Amino acid sequence: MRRIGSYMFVLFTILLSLGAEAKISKEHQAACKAAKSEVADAYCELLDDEFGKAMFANGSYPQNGVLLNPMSQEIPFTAAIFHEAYLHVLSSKLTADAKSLATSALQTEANQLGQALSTKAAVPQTGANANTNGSTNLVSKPTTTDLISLAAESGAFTDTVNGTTMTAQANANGLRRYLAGDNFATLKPTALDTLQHLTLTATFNVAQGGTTSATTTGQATSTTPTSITSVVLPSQNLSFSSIGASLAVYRPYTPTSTGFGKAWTAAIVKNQDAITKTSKQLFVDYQKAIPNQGSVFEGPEVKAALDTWNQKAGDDEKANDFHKFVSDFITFVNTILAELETDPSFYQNILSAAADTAQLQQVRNTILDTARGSLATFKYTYSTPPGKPATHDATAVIGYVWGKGDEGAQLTFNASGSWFSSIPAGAKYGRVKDYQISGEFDQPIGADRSSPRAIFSVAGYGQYQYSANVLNVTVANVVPGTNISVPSNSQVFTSTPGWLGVAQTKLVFNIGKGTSIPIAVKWSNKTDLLTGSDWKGQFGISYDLSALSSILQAK
Amino acid sequence: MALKEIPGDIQGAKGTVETIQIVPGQRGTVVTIASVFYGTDANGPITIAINPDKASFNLTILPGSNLLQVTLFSPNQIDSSAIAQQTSNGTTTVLEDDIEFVNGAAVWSPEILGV
Repeated sequence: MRRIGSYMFVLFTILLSLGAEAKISKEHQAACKAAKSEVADAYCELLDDEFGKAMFANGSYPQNGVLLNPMSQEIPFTAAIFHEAYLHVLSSKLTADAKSLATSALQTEANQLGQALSTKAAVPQTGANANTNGSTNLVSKPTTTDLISLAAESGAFTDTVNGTTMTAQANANGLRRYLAGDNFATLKPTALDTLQHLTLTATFNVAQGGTTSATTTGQATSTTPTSITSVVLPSQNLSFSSIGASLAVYRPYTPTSTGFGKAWTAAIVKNQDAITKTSKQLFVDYQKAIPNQGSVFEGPEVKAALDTWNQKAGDDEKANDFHKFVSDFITFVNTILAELETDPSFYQNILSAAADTAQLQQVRNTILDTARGSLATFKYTYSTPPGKPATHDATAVIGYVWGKGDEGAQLTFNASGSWFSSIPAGAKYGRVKDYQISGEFDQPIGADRSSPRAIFSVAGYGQYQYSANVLNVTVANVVPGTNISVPSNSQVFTSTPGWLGVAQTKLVFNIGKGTSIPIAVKWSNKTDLLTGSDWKGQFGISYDLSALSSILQAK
Repeated sequence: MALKEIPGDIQGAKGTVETIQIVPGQRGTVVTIASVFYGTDANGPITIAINPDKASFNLTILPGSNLLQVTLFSPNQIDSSAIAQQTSNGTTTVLEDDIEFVNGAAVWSPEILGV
């Protein structure tokens, strides 16, 4: 079972690479797809590149070496035959009818791996920001959904009154790729993929308690006092709370910059043991699969196939027939495979080599993460909290994810500011509402750190207010019976200026399939409307649509 | 004496020391040699030292057919390619003009026939 799991990982890595399409013209890409061969998929870029140079047709020497000896580059070669090798190995245990089921199972498993990898970090944020009434997140996270997420949350941090909110987030690039029918999980971005940095967020108050004043049109009974000319009606509406944009400066790096170059080189040195171990294993396994590449070409069939390919490749390039060029290359590779598979352990050894190449790519990703450093995001939110003036909020988020030692653990810091969007005439307060600093440590729980069963968090938050809280006053706020007229734009101060501190501990259960349930408790020294300390619980449920298998595939 | 490409192999004179350079196939591509192994002995694959520039290495050509495995890493987000070449007396000989990166990693593994 463990072995099958590792093959799933390899398959997923291969699927990602086969989804690449950045450098190939659409016409040639279509030709490779039309060939319906994994050989064409794996070598498409190489074939496209050679076809553009037309070295076979021009008699240039050397021609593209890997097209004369496809075995000389292990990553495309193992990718080209991985599926066949896997099914070949399975066939000793499965009936022929079961092979199609196995293929289907492979795809499903690959999709699930894709979902696990899609979040990029163990603790992405799916719910509302801390300053939103009803959030469960005291600290904003630098990572969000890759497509769309929905979260329903109940609670409050700085607010006196608990709120219940629904938050929808959409990643601009995830949405674009989905609507365009592109692969979900490509790792070869084009210019449009810079939209990946942008996430849009909207939060709505649900079950929002309130009142509405209504003018009466007469007395329905003779005993009703005629002085009742208006009544207060209870309301329970969904209302807009906030809208925001998050721009992720996601592990920024420029490969050609001097600073990054030094970090990259240092990261390679730091990980040299892992590189050596993995590539050495690849050497051993690949040589087991193909003990002598040169001897493969000594077989009469392969020798003849090479001569034929050399001739036809030149003809195809002269005729500008890429379809035929691809088809002739597939024939050549299939002849080589027919020679290689005379060794009964060839496919098993190729599976081992494929696992090694996938592992090597993971080592490279680890090195890149080491060189890139921390996560950083900037968020802007426009909020219209119920009963309060609208605000503009800006938050700088920086996070560090442990790669070794406490793998998956994350430390996040926020620095935020909140400004009133407008100041009414006669206001006794300024534009600045408050400044905030906060921090959170997230500890994944469970053996699988890339997809933990739960995450335990502790967080602290400090907010400094220059003036007391401002509360909008309407007739509904006035104590019944006082009969005070309330002009429009009436506001009062509540609580006191100065520091407001919040501490939170939270447990997020990752149910799987993109669903998580946060449960938290917080203590604060005061709240926005009252001066006394306060304990509150928070609860929510969120769902990340990136987990839907059906959206992972290109259409 | 430079190495030369023959069908299925690269050929060189046994005992000679050859320097192979890896250069980016496209402008803006960063290519780093992560590891090099050539041939095997009683301890398994033989590790070849990478030159301090992380872009070249020196081989002493072994007799017979031996696998060379060069692992390359690139930090570039868009996969590109690298070129394996030799430069001697101002003349550059290309051994492989399209070593393809896939997810930031590439492995070039020709066999070298030492004669």
